Amino acid sequence: MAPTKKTKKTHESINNRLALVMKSGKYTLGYKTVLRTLRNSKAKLVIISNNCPPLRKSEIEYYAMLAKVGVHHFNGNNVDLGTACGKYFRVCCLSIIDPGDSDIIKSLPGDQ
Amino acid sequence: MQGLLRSHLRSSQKPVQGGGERGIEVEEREGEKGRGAKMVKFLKPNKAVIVLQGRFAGRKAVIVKNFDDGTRDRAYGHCLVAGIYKYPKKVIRKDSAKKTAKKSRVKAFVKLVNYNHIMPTRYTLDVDLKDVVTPDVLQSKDKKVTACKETKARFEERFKTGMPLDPMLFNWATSITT
Repeated sequence: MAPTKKTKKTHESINNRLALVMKSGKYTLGYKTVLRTLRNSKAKLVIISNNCPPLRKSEIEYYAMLAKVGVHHFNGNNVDLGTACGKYFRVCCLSIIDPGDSDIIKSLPGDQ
Repeated sequence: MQGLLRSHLRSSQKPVQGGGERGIEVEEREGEKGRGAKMVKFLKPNKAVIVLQGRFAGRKAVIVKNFDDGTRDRAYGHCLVAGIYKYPKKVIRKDSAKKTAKKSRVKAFVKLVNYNHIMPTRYTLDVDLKDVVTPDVLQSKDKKVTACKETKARFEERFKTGMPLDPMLFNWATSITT
């Protein structure tokens, strides 16, 4: 996937949307649960950090292709993604099950 | 994975949607009716998968039956797969009929596998195994052997008559020369 040139504004808006999902929606963090939600078709959007190992990244993308779920490549590494989620640990991939009040699903998947 | 991801092999994922096609069934989840969000379950019978762990790691298999929520004995998502233990060998023009027959043999296996231990692919294999491979087959060795023999027969028949090359049965097919 060609990395999209993100302006600072859109990057912040993704962070804002993620924060809203963390507060009001349902999500899971981590590779195992991401695959699990993809398999039982609960995932609506998958976000992968940019330093995710390439084999794991392509595996998640393949599952998402089968499940017809959008994948967003987060413009930051797992440390940044963890911070964006408001957590004190690293997050390599996460899956949004229910966006709550956020419009992250509607606004992002065009970007894949 | 290279042999599998060839676009000219039969694939169940077509870019244009229709619903109700084999492998692409579209379900709406409750509460989503307004948004039109479509969720696709892809672990379904007839899906070609690769077994990742265990004795049959690396072998291709077909899902015969899913148990998405598990059973009492296995409290996790798993599926009953029928796969290929020994692939048919490559046949060349010089081979006699007897040799061809010997090389075209397939050995099958039947197994209950955890979803975490399979890698689904975008291909399907429409060989009807539902009557032969059932969960109670795994209870006794004789039943399992007869089930494996029957799946072997069906796979072999498919191998011999299948055209274009069936991505699941050919292990060495990385490029198709017909």
